[in-house]
Amino acid sequence: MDSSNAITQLEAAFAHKARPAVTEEATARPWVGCFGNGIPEVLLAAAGCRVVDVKSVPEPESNDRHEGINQFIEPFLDDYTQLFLNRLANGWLNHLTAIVFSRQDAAALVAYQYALEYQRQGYTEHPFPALLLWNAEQGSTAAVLRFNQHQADKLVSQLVSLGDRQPDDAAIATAIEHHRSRCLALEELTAAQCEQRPRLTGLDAFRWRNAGRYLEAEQFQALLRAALSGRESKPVRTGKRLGLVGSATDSEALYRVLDSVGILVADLQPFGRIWPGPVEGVTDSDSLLQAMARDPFCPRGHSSIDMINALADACAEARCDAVIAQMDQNDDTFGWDLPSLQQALTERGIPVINLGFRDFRPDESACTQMREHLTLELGA
Amino acid sequence: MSDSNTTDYQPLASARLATEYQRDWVRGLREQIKAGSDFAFVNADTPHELFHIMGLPIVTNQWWSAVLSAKQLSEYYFDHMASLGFHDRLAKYSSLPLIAELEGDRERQPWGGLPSPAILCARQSADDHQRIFSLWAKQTGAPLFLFSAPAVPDPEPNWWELARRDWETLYGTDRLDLMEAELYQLVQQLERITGRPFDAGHFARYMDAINRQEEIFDEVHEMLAQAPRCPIRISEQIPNVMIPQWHRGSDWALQHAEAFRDEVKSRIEEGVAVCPDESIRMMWVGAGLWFDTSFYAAFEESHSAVFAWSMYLPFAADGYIRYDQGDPMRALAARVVSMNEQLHQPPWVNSWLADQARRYRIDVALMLIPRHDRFSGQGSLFAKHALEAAGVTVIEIWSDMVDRREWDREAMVGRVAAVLDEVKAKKDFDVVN
Ligand code: SF4
Ligand code: SF4
Repeated sequence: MDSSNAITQLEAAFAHKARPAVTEEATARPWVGCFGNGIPEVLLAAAGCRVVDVKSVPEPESNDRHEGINQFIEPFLDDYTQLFLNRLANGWLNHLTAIVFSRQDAAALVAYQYALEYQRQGYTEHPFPALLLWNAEQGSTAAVLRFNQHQADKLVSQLVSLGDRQPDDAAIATAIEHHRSRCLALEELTAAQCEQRPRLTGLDAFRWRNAGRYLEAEQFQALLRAALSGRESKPVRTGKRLGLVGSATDSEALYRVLDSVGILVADLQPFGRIWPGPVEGVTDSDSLLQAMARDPFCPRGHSSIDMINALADACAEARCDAVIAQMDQNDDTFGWDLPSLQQALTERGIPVINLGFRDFRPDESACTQMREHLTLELGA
Repeated sequence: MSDSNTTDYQPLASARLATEYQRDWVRGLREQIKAGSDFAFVNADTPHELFHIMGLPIVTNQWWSAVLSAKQLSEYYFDHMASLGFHDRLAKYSSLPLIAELEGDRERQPWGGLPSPAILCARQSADDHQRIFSLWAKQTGAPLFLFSAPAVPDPEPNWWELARRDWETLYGTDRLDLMEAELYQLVQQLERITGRPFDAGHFARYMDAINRQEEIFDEVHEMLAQAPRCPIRISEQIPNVMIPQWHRGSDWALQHAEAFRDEVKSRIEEGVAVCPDESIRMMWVGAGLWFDTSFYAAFEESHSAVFAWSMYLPFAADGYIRYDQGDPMRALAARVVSMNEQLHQPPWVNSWLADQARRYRIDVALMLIPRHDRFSGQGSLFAKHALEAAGVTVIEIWSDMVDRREWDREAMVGRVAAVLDEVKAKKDFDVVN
């Protein structure tokens, strides 16, 4: 496949974010939305589902509020929770058979609870997709693994009751293979992003990476590899090598700001990661669950200190000249990590520039401010 | 306003006794810790029962936070928090002790500060608990025991009706299995720390005593709900419940609960009322207003309005009674597995509050909504709507109450008074018609 064609397809998939109008295969297979990282997509794929992300917000859907559901939304809820609930109430997710919410994503859990309650109280104007909770925990004890195994069985039986097929070992093995090849392709993207002479912009890498959240794993890995293969023809980018950490963000404007002041070589916010979780040593459903329960980047891991060290190591490996921190207006977790992360990065010789709180969709003037702040700090 | 209403309220003897007992007990704890005895530093929603039965004293995070605040240290520590690079929208109530620990000047703190605990314990109900406790563990080198906190996929709205006996159905076998396994893991760790073996028989009797104590509180709660007029102030209800809850299951706590019950009972029989011509009944939704408890009495004279409800007493019954069905450890798992979710998560919080408001014939609710403690604030608007649907007028107070800088008493009195005027006018109108 030629590279520019692949890029066009990735960008189109990302821009469209699987909104209903292009769900040409919607009737052929059950579409299942996923909210948050850490969901065992392998099991969904093996059950025959077409998996798409519902957390990242399509631009055309980011402004229409739904009066009914808004009377229950406190302003301090996560932006992604608020927007998801509005989209759900507005009927923009009606093409999905089910939505799986990750308990490991704080925004997803609250979205699940509020959507369920809104539905229970009979406010819905149209039937919601089935609301399913992926309730796994982090850890390596027998009790945690047993619990997670039970959650996996439960998830599968819920899918089966919605008309999906019971995944057999062969289907799981195939799904794991697809999952692995997607992970490897994503690792290639991560490597390309931080190579010695980087050519990708942060925005390109962000779009290509997350386009995979709307495409079949097989198709996506082929497109991504093809897109990457053509990067030699792009000019080498020069400037300070930057890392990005903090709250989840899918703001393209923020990426444009970063691209204008340096080169993003390590994107470590949740939308910069390889999802849905680790793949090393995964051969079957048991090992999949074990690997997922020990994800060093999981925000619900047992030690934020380990997570901070993993982040700092990743920045050092990418040879960052500086790391940019940002958080959403209602942050209540990353703020706890930031001083320790700052320390861990300082120990590795990397300064941190803190942009502080940013809006969900920063406007022109906010972007100008961020750019000026970064330019000043980076001495670019 | 009527003359008969100038309040000559007599405080409860039991409230004073509880406070005195607690003062002595705290003094004893302080001596013990200063003398170098091991202790555990734990979050409020952890199974204190296990620490108690294993003979390891505990200091709870939320209590130590209140102790620091009572010494007027919170503002100093909030400033210090900022200088360490933590932003000011992070939860403050649950982090004040950590900030004090990081600040490091023990002499500034009550008791000359806390030495390193033998163990730290928290539940991962909200994502910041692990962070606060991990930082504490890093600072002190103490081991951290974290309980998993899987979410509730199918919360039954009437949780309080199922929780006492049918908790297996309510909380789910998978969640209880995990919680119970982790309780035993904690027991093993406590055995190593204390060098004492866990005594299952002793534990069963202790759990039984706790249920008996909570049944007494349940009786008081029923009496207060049904009494024609509210006989005691919530500022007295709170210590009478919270202090014995702290020592739940002990002989003293049971005796105290009984004494409290008897005192309330005789007040009701004698027709004692906080407001002789009580006309408006209010509920206080949220954590206690510990630094301005006289606010609870502020509308008695002006509007014959009393605060009749705060969560502590009814929650002692609904949140704690778990009959063991032959398995006390599993019953303990049922008590802690959703401890705070019951107060914060829809539909649990909204259906419970609406039910409580009906039982207590509440007219007006003051609802505290913290802006910077998401976990405690979630579900507030569902609760508000449920209360309104139950005929209650809701006054929302968006404030982080640990920060007394945010409390403007005069403005609040004015706001509430205006609402009470309207409610009173409507009530009078309804009576005439
Ligand atoms: S008898 Fe009861 S109160 Fe006394 S130590 Fe044992 S459990 Fe605690
Ligand atoms: S009020 Fe809620 S958040 Fe605060 S200690 Fe109690 S349960 Fe926890």
